[in-house]
Amino acid sequence: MGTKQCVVGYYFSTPEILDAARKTNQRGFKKFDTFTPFAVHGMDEAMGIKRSKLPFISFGAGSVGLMTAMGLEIWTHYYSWPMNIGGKPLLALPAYIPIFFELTVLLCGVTTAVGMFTLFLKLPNFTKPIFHPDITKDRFALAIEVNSEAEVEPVKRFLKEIQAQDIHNVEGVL
Amino acid sequence: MSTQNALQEEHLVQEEKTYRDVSNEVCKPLESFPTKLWWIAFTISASVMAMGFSLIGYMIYTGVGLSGIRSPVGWGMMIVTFVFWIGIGHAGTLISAILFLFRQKWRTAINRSAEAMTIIAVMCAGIFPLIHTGRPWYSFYWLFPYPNQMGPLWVNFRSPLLWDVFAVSTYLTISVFFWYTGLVPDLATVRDRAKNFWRKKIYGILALGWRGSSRGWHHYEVAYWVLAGLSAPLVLSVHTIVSFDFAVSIVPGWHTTIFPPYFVAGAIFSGFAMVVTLLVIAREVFGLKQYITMSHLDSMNKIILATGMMVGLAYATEFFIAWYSGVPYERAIFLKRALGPFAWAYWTMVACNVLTPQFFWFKACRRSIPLMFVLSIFVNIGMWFERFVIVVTSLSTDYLPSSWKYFSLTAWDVGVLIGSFGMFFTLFLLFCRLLPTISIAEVKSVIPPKEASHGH
Repeated sequence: MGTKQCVVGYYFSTPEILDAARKTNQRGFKKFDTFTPFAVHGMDEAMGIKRSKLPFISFGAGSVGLMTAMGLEIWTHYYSWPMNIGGKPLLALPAYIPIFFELTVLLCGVTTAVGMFTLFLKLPNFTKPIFHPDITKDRFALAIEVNSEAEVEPVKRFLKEIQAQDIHNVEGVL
Repeated sequence: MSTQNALQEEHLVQEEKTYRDVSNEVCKPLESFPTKLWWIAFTISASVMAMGFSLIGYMIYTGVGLSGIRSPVGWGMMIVTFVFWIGIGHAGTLISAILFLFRQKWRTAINRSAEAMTIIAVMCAGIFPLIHTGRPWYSFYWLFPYPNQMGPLWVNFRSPLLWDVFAVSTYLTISVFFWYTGLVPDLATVRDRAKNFWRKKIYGILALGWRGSSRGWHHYEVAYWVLAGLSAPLVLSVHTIVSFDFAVSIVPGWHTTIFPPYFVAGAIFSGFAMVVTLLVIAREVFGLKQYITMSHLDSMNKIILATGMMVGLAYATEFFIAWYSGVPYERAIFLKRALGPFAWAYWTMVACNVLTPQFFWFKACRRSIPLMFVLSIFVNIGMWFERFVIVVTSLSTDYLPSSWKYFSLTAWDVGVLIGSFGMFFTLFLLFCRLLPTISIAEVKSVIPPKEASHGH
């Protein structure tokens, strides 16, 4: 039973990291990730990342927001405490539309932002290793997770083969 | 890499910048002791803010009678200024969301500060309706639907004033989430550069443990698209709903269908003018001229010109429709606007909003810093007067001539108005000191990679 480790190598430009990510993906590695200072265009295809499921959550939250607004407005005005204000109809659907829209957007937007960070990125999380402080500046890292000590050397050799620099291993998971 | 070549031609960032330069130069104001200039500006604006809040406190203690609102003008400076500040906010969302959806890459250098401006402006705006109520501690009862023992008595969902409550609070919330989402990768940059323990801790917590993982970036970008897609119609809805406050009433001069597009265009117009005012100062003070370039300012001035023309067209259309409608009250109110007791305000508005932007037809004017600074201030004066003209002229001379009355601002009104500018600039100066004013990650992504990576 070995401890989980990450083998990390570095690159210094976007074409290099894209090429390395593509090769790592083609070699059949599953548990690997790249770390970049900004969203690199074309990285999704290079790493073989599938489309995000986040929009489904956004859509669901938006629908809940719309339903909440409908329920709230119709119930309060029509059932809970009907009030005649200026002879306007109690079920004044057109007048309800602005709040339908606002609550839809509110719930959808907040859930998308919060859901993206918590459910998809598993943040906030302060325990995972930050491989190099320059990753948020100008360094691009490729990290491969391995299950045991024995796998470390072959993975290091692979990283060397794809021209990674400063290769080292860190204890922990991706 | 054809897209990158295209970007290179646009000169989004002047000179050859490396990724490292971007981090260093954007973070510099955060990591050094504030300059004397910053302290002077901060002291002045914070004092003005303190004065404003003291006046508000005294006004609430004594009663809103201190403000100029007298029958028949029940909506005075507070509502005028509320609409003004909400309008200022609109440019930030336009830059961050609508230009993003249209893939206008030049927005990357200005979107962070413009969004901050949005949030601060909406906060300034939010104060005014609360003071206007006179008893702000009751606001929660009046504004939000909550279960209660009074019936239960609910808010009136058929009222545009209530739509406004929902629109403005949704707008503020979504803007904050959108802005924060954009900030997280840059906060991680600040965290990783930090040498001081507490600095590292605080920015570290704010950065949520962001590591720049590509699997994370993937979801992050999707979320950013969704938020931009939501913010775009949201920003249009906010000023539309603010205009409903007027348009849904039956007051002559307010009861017009042109109000929603007219208000939105005016909001973007004034907001861009405010962005120009702020960025002209910020790029000078914080040494960001190579990121917020002349071509950025040029593009913003073009938008000011375009929206200024829309606003001018709306003024003309209002007059035409008032005449064409054949309604005597409509005709009378518009004649009074241009020729009546408030003609001075009306022509100030026309001069500032329709005439000043015309300078921007000329490239030399669009690229002259002193000129655009002065013009942007004129535009904002004009836009404040636009709301003044709309709110006050219609109310002061309504259907019943016996109750007609002139409206004038009191010293309290002026003090609170100036105080809100103090609050705006205080918060903006704090933002410039504490957070990266330019989206570091986004700017890096528009630099061609060949140039950006050397130095190893």
